[in-house]
Amino acid sequence: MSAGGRDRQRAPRGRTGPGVAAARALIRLAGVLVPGGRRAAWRAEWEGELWQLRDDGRRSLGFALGAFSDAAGEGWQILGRDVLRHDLRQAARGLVRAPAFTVVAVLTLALGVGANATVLSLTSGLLFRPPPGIGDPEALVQVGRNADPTAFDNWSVPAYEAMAAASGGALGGMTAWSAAGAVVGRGSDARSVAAHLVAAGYFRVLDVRVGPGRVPLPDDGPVVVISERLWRERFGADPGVPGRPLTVNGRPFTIVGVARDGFAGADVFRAPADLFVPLAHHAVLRGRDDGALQDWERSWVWVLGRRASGVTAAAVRDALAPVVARLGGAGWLVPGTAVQVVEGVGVRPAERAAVRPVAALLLGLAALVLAVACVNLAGLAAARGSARAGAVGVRLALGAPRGRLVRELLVESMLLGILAAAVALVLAAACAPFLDDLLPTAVAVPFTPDLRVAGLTLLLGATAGFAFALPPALGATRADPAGALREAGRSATGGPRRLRSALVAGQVAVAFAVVAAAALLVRSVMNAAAARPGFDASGVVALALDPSLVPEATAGQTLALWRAVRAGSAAVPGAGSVGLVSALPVVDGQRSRTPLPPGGLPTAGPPPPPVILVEADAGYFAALRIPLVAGRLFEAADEGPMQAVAVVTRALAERFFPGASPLGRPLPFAVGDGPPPTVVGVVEDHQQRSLTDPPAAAVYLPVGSGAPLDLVVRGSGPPHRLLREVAEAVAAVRADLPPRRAAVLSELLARSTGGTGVAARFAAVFGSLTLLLAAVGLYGVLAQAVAHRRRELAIRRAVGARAGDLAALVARHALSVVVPGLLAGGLLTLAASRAVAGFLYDVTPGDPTVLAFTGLTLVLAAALAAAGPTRAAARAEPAEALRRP
Amino acid sequence: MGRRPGYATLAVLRALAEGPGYGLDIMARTELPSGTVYPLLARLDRDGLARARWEREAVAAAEGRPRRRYHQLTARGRRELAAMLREWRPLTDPLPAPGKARPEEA
Repeated sequence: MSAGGRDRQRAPRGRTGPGVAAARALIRLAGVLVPGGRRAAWRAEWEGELWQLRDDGRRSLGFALGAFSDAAGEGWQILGRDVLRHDLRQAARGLVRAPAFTVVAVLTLALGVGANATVLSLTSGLLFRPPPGIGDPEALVQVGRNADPTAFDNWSVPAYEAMAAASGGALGGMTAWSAAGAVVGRGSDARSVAAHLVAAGYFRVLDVRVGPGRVPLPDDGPVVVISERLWRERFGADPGVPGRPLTVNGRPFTIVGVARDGFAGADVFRAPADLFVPLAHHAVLRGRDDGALQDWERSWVWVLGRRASGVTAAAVRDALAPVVARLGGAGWLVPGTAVQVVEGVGVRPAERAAVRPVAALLLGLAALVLAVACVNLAGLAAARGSARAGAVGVRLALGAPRGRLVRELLVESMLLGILAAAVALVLAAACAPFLDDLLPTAVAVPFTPDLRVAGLTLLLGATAGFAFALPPALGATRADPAGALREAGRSATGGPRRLRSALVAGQVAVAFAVVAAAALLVRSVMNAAAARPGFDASGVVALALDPSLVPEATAGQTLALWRAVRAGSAAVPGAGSVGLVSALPVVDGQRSRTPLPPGGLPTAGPPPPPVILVEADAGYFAALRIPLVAGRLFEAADEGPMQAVAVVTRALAERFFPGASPLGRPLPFAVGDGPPPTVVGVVEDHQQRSLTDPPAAAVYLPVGSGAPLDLVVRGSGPPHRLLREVAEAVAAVRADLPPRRAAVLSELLARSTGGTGVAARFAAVFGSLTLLLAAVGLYGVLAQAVAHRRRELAIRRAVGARAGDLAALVARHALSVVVPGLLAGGLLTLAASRAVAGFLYDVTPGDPTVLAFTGLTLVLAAALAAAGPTRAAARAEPAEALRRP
Repeated sequence: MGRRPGYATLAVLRALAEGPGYGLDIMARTELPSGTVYPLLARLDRDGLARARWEREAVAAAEGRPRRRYHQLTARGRRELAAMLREWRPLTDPLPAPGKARPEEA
């Protein structure tokens, strides 16, 4: 190397690899964080030492990465002190001094962020937060049974016990539960609550805190653990409650403990449970022993397990698979049954799959609301910026460093965003109790924002403040000081205002899309409610009654009870047809079951396709106006536990008796313990699982098995009065049989629109919000334009323009914003239609009525927003031109 | 010092006690990464426990390399190191056994 010392000092640049070059770039980049005064020396030290590592690219890179923490520390030394001591105070003072701006800006942003916080709380509660009161929920698994890969079904008690016995190594414990209805108290004090029958080890496996009192033990008599809620509401949180008697379903139970921390069961999509009864006492709870604990064919318990440490869900499945295969081979399970294990607790795979698209749609809509709010925030910040331009110009002219101003504005914007996020969280918390009512099913989780949601919301608010309040404020510092002083209070330049108009046009477009989505979804819900699903729900009320909840519930007596209830309801003035059914169509999603071939246990081969089994009486078909196609309906003599005859739907008749009449012939499969029932009638097909699924093959059996039933009554008067009078008639028959649900059928159906209903309700709120925000945005841009053009308008007036001409100027400005916005909105709606298409019922995304309605709504809102500025322009006085410089 | 000094502070102070050194030098003596050593040296400088000084241009030029910034322990730094060495005891206690007993249940 012949070069001189100075050249050699610079030489590293020449003979280094890419690693060293990258390291040098990293150090230069990190140096930006170091305060200006110290930056040169800082870079010299780091670069100087990097030179020594010039032969080792990898070490150079590692070395350079460390420069970031060093630079951040250096930067924080200065920034941390100044930001906290000076800028924050300055920013707070600035916001307090402009209360109107602060309040409007915070509220605007809070609406947008609040929409997101609410949807995030909902999503978090439904999908990401385990039910309350469960310890270490991540280690829990749900064990499901499936004959086809999409299913995730529950188990029979003997099957659960067989798995529990074999699960030792992989699971730290296994338990099971099943939901049941219950009535606590007696006489007029009786109240309907949700109860869970729980297997041994339930509280230990779920790690639920119980106290006062204890968990149930094997030697206990009929005992019950009550929820914290019941403990507080019924017993005033008395610590002496354990040991006290509690009447459940008219039978004596003893309270042993109180489940704490808000525990209300291990299921999100179910009403919160108030009673936990050991499975062993289920016969006491039901008033009869139907052998369900030993019955392999009755699948009714959900199985949960706690993973042993280091064991994956797949390993749990592998551990259980041999047991399940053995049970299947022995004929105890339907052939082809597989075990499925999913991590977590509270939400089953199908529910997760159903909720996810709704959550995605709602998050998308909330994001659009926020976008519209952010544009308004930018507009407000721009207006404030130009109002402050004079003061800023003075400070710059007096020599204030621009960096200082920028930092102050940055802190102010973030502070604004954080304030808005705080207001948004308060809004979301206030909305939380009402979210339950928006959902189609009861849920056992609270929707108050949790820490995760709060963190995200604060981040969202601060980011929005940073991204939308800062740039316009910065614009004000960019003007040259002299110009700012001269121009203060006069017309602004055209550039930012054109941008502003474009942004407002964007708002109109987004508002169009959100309102259109809302209109499509609401239309779908209305269509669904108006649909004739093969039955007629109008004027029908339904009361869910469970005869097993009264003490003397033997089969014969239940039938007598049903007949008394039927007779009592029929005597209500205005009541028409009165009937009974074990599951309401669509509302209860009449579940299908796999029928067993005659002879009982399944044989080899694929399981037969499922059919729907429902108990009903003749009055049910009359009340819902389901027409009889052939044969007859049930008679009083058919009713009872024997279930020897059946009425089938047309679809079932065509599937199992193709080309022949099924009347008088036995079904080709068993539906209970006895021989297959004989078909006596065929009814028309109708919707059963949902409003959209095709009608399924269904078998109707006579009532009288003791299963809980819905009393359905068609009446001529107002349905709510009918509902009240029928409820009174039932209470007159049995005071201690409070209905578990009493509702107008058409309202139940409207709630059964699932995701569409939820999305529609949220979209309606979000649509109104965006409409309001977009109107405010349009008003802002027009009002500002009129204010800026006051002098020009006055001069025009002075030289002979009429008031109408001036108003037309503003109106033309409004049109120049709204028309492109509407066009873009229409295109946006069509482009985004795929997001809502899955939720629509009997309406397409391009529906002209919906698009026209949306356009009209927006035009109306725009007209309202433009009215004020237009009038202000028309009132411009020629004298103004003289008064204003 | 604003917060309780940790092991890294002790290591850097001990390395400096061996004599003045530049950053890379201290990294080698302590086997700590750059992201730890440089912020620590800056902090010791601010707290007056060490002092940084650029080496003379002539020395660097003579050796044909960029100038180095040497860090040197001050008298206060030495006292602090002595105090820390008295305070630090080897950590020999075994970790407490994890787990808790659960009552048996039905």
